[in-house]
Amino acid sequence: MNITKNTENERMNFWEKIYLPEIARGMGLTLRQVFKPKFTRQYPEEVWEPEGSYRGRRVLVQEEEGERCVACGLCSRVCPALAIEVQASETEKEKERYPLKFEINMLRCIFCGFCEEVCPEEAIVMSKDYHLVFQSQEEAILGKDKLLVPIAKLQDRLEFLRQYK
Amino acid sequence: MPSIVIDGQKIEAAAGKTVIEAAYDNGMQITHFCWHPELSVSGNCRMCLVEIGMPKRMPDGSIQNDNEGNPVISYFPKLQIACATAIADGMHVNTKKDNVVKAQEAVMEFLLINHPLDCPICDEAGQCKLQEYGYKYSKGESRFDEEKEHAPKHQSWGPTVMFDAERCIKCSRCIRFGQEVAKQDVLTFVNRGDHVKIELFEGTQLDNPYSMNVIDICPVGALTSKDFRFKSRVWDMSFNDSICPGCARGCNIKLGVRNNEILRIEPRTNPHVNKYWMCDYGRLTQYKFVNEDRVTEPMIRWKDGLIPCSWDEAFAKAEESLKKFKPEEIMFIGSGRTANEGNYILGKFAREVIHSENIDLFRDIDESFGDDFLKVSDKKPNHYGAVEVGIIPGKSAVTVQNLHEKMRYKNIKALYIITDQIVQFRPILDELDDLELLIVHAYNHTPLTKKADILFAASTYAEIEGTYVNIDKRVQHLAPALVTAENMRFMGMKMSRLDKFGASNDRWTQHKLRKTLPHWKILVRLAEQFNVKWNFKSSKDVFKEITEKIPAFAGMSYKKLIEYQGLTLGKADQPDAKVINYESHVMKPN
Repeated sequence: MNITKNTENERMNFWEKIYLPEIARGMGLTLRQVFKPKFTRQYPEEVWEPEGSYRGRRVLVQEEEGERCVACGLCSRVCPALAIEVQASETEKEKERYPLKFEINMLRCIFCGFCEEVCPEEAIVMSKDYHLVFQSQEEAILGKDKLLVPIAKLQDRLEFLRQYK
Repeated sequence: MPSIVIDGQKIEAAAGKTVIEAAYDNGMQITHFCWHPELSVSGNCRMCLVEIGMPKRMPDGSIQNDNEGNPVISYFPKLQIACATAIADGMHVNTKKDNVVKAQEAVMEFLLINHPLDCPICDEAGQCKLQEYGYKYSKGESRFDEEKEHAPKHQSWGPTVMFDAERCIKCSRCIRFGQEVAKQDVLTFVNRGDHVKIELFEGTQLDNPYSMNVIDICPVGALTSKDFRFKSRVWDMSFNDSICPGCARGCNIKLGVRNNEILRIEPRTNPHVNKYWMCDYGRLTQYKFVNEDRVTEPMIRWKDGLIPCSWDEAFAKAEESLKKFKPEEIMFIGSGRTANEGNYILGKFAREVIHSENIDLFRDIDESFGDDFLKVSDKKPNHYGAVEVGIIPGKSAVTVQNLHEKMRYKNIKALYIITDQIVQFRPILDELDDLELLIVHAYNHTPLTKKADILFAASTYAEIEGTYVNIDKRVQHLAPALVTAENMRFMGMKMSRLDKFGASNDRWTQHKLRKTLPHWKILVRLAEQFNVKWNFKSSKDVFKEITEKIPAFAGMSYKKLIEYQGLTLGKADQPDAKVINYESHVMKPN
């Protein structure tokens, strides 16, 4: 079977065969980049601030009176990766239910944002936090102590949700 | 029998039935909140409004037909409630016509005016009739802009029930349940209009022995269980069919399980045994012993204490110890708490392997416990079954009545006990130190297990498949709800969602798996140690042999027991008529 035709037209001519013009063109391209503005960031020193629409590590909203979450368990139910485990308990407050235990396994989380979408209390939101480093499996399971974030720090995301959810 | 037409489908029902009953008997549904088959009709929720009409008649009494030969129907000008309208021959009922749908939407909108948006907090969410109907029969939006009527939310109605007045839709099921079933008339409506509330009479409490049934029949989350409140969402639990082991009535129950722990027990409809109800005693007491303080693996005595060991070690030790005694020196004690399968194999083991006739069991009669409704004074769920499958002493054998004397005079030197019920019998407990060998199949750590030489960890009613025989000689099937190391591969899809899909490194799967075995399996493997090979692979095989060997069980099988919701002993060929089981509202598992 004749796959390559190797006709007169397809054959490289002399200048193409020696590659030198192509090398010169490549060098020219590289040289032009040197004078263009730089996009590279010195990451750990220079931190990128994402927009409100960014889906980073999900966190629980903490208001002055305490957490917003009422431990309804919908986030846990909707999570396609089974990353959330919630255990509810009773309080004396007006909303009589609160999460005794709220754990997110960041190794399971796929950052889909379903939990945020389903939350009836706007209590779980995706934050801008993308510095996710864990040194063990246990460390990657975040409890309430690590998840609760004051509402002031989450204004961008809440504003975004109000506009587009 | 009068025949009526519902939505173009002709059905027959007994005279005197109401439209909603006739529909349910024929497997059709009519929306409702306040109607319940076991309670009187109150007709106040208006959710069952349907269009009802009769064929038009000519002056001579014959039915007037239209051009196509169909009868001309003259409908009542207004919609009627299906729960309070008796059927009449030739009646036509429409449940899906536009005007009916419009009425349903209007009723739903009306009920939802003052209903709070509490679902994330409410325990009923996921199995709520109002929620379900909200999806199916309501427009999904409210036109009500005004402030909702507020009412007190945390009200204690008694030792078991919490009331949330805001969520209540005033269907009056709980009031009627108290008056008609529990015979404790303490609830009533007060005020009128949107101020209407259900209240307790002054100085009274809802504390009857059946009070928690109001939680099940409440179509919304107004009544919640103090025992269960917020423990788990319904969709995170698995519900498996079982039989309550609290007394000899054998109420059909469902076990709500999450993370391999029973969180609640609720009644399962069986029109021939417990209908829709069960007692608070069963609900509150029959799951803790399964969850807590369990003997999780076999143990043998080492010096002063018991140490865990492998099953093989325990069997070897038991064989070695039992062989030291003459057959008539060994006493076997069966149990009315154990399923027939375990008791049958115990009898078989004693007679065929040890050749002892000393087989008996204890009763547990508590006259103060029984009443004239569901509770019976015999507190063993399977006493009749145990006797029937062969837990009876042979002639001139030792019985539980003279056991303590025989133990004192060293006629009985070894005791083999299934479960730990013996602790209630003082004289025998006192003589236990005289024994040379005590083998116990135990669920929990008790005073008896402390004295045991060999302890076999046994599976409770929630971990086995088996059968119980209740006080009316009805054989009923129970299915496992919890996972043990032994039944794990059979449980599969019957587990709750998180258990099913959890991985080995998830926190919720970290609970220790109990290495318990069903009683029959312990005995079969012990018999193997004695070089007696019985070919039982599952409890089904054991039950098959029971049906072959014992005439009263002839013709039964697990499949039939499940299908007919239990069969009476000796009457396997005459099952009770199958009835369509009404369920007020059920969680539909994912």
